[in-house]
Amino acid sequence: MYKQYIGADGSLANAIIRLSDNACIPFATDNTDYQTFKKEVLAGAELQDADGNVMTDASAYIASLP
Amino acid sequence: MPVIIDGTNGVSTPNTFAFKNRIIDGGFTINQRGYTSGTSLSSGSYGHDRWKGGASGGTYTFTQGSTGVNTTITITAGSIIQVIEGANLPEGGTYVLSWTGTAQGKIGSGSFGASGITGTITAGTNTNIEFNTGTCGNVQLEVGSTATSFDYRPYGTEFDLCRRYYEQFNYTNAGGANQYITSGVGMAWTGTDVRITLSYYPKRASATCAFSGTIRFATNALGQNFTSMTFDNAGVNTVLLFNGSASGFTAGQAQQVTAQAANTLISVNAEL
Repeated sequence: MYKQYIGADGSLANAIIRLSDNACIPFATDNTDYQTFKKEVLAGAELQDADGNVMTDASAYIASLP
Repeated sequence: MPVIIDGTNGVSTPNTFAFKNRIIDGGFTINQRGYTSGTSLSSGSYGHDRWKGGASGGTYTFTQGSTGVNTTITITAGSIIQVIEGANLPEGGTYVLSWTGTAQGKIGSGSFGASGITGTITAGTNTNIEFNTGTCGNVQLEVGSTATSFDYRPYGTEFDLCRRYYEQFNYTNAGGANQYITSGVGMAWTGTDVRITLSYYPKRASATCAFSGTIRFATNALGQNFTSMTFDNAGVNTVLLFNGSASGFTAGQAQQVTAQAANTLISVNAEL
């Protein structure tokens, strides 16, 4: 499972939290954790918004990422 | 093997010299994650630096030698894989994989075989090296079709090669109370937001970062412990750690940052 979070500037971070270990994964196309995040969410893994609500439009969100 | 040096071709048998080995931690000397002998690795989980469980996971046993002294492992289940970064395979062409022991290895999508197998690699392409069950040590991948003696690199150099992919800051508080490990100097961004920038060894890619343990931001007059930290703006060599749940700090004030519990750990991961 993954979760969006608020970054240091008060807006959504350009990164995602992997809830299994609370690791912060940057939106960097050459980061393999980021590649895995996108694959897993598209395959049905849960993605939460910053408030902890399950995102129902996760696929569209993934499509908007680099 | 002949060594030919001339003004036109330079050195024409480069694999007889140092840094011929494209495997990193081929002697299983670096174990930053503290992999314990005999522990089952799930697929993609790391044991010794640069070595991870294969598609069906992997388990191996070992007895670590003195610092920098190569270790032979025994793969007891599944397989282990090292992904060689394409940037370290600039020539392309034929490469030979060699090791000591009974395990069988393979290059990329090739077949498993005994030490000395060859394979064709496309220049600049990430390539898997995989070993199945058996003993395995002194792993080496080099250009050409003839295996040569293992390339012993300085321990510090090998460590730095590993840190391009993974690094951890282990602020183990070995000294007991009041003997905390200083992590750096941070600041109170606001009264409720403390921050510190962490610099690390340059990574292959912007890194995945994780924190565990307890860290303390403090001045002489005020301190607060934090058991969670959030990372932002992770790059190839810096990341910002912050916590917006602080209280009572003065904006702009410098903070001494210390680990405050045994095994406080920050991991920085850019593995393949």
